[in-house]
Amino acid sequence: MLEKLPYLIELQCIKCLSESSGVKRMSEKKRLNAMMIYKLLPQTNCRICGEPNCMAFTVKLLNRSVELKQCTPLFDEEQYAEKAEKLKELIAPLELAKETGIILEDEKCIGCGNCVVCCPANATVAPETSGGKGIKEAHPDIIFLVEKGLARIYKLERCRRYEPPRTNCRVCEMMCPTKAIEILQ
Amino acid sequence: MSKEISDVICPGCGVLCDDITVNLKENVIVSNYNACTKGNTKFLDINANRLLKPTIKMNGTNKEVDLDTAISKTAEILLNAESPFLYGWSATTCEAQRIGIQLAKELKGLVDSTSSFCHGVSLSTLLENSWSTATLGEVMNRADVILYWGSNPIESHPRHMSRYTTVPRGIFRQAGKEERTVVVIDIRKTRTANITDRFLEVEPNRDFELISVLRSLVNGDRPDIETVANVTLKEVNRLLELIKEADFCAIFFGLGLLMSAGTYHNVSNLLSFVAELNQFTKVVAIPMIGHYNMIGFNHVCSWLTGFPYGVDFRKEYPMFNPGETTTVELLQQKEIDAMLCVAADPVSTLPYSLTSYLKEIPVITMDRQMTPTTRISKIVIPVALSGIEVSGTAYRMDSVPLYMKNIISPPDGILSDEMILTKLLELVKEAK
Repeated sequence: MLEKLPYLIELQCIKCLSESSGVKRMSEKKRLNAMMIYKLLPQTNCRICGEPNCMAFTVKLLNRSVELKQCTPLFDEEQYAEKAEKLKELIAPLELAKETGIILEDEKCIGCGNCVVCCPANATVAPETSGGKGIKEAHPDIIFLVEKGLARIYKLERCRRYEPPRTNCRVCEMMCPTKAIEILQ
Repeated sequence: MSKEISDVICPGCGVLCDDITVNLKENVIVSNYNACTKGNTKFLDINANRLLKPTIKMNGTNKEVDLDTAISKTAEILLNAESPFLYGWSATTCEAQRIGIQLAKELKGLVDSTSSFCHGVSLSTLLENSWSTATLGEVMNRADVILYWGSNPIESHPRHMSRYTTVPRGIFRQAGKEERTVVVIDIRKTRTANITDRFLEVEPNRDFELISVLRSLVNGDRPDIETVANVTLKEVNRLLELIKEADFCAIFFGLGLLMSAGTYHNVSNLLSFVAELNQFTKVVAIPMIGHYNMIGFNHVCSWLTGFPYGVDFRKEYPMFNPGETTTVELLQQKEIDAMLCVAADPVSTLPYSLTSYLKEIPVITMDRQMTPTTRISKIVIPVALSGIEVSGTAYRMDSVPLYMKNIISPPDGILSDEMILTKLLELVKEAK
């Protein structure tokens, strides 16, 4: 086929005008849960970390209230070396998480603005967003905003998960079609 | 000096989002708010692969010439041709389209847009059916059931769901998404189906059967089958009940329906189904138009010639016969002997068996950037980007005309499609 298209193969790739231009495809990851972490811990309930058992340590690790290095046997004993490496890799996304555990991956975002429109806290700051209309200028208290074709998180402190009474709101995660938004806990 | 302009219309796709805020720094767009990835590319990469000088191909090499020479040479080629063909028009303003159709009339040539192998075909089903439709604003304010058939708005029109259909709260839909049921009918689970309430996976090329069964159920028949197009009759019945019990249902049909077996008969059948459903509740059908002003050409051509696309002026009166005066057939039959291509890239969009003929005839391309079509063209005339560098009218997918602003000025010496076509029209009129 390419032999028949001499005028095409000479060209470098120029911006294709197809319907799906600018849309990135990424493989989807499995959601991180407590059991995935627990399986890789020593499971000896040694209490060196200060927690009553390994499961309690897992939950706190997921909440980012303890650090993995507090589990000293995992790094000191050779038999756990392989598990330690796997665990480090597994919890790496947790370090990216903001205060409420939201991760927004630019690689997956297509700037559809579903998060901007569905966010109830965004609507209290800029009521026009709940009607589908974008804001005219960046508001200092806005949470989500689409800028340069990608969603951005500005004032996460306004999130309903963060402010009292800390509701377990996951509407942005539910409405994200590309799974670019992930709430870790 | 930096400047912020709000309420800019995005020429990215058929949704024509009218709420973009653009930041300028000395006639250069530096950032924007609210535009999706697709629209953002239009605003920020405006100068990528930009053409700045008109060129004429002589002995295999492109030679830079001035604009007047390029235009007079274009007029000469078009006047000497027996069947000049004016193609493209989907990504330019209605004002330019109007002059283009006048030019085709003066030249006694043919004019067609990209819609002849796209959604223009569904417009021609209007001749057979009635069409119940609404604006996107009405859908936002009233619709409680949204059905996407053969379209994947998250990838083709990223802001369609967040701006008008699924997520926003409307006047009579104060709870937004919670008050709406969104259904996707497609041949595979698309990203759109990730966030919708229901998904029906239909067997490829069997949409017509599914619509026919839905129609027979609406009319009170009880078909003696268990499944149709891989969907169980129970699910079909559930879908029908959902639509019948709705206050306002909006059906958006995409190219998946139009480009599978049955082509425009699928759309024709769907529109008949919609008309029949209106005895129970308000149901509307809206095509998912891709290019930002494709439906605009159909409107302009309809009020100028009486036909939506594919008009032949060779007999001095407008003649419309899909399958004879449309792009694909004209290229297949090698009926044309010169082509003016405005705001389109046929070499990229059409199959090689058709575009190979373009190497044998003189092709004149008016485009903003380098494309495969400009590489095979005899004359290339650079133009300004309509909607960002040039103001003008465009029709949204629901046939609402919107006036687009010019927010930055084009590079020196670059004119709009409309101005170049006006000059061309004057030269053609003088020569006659």
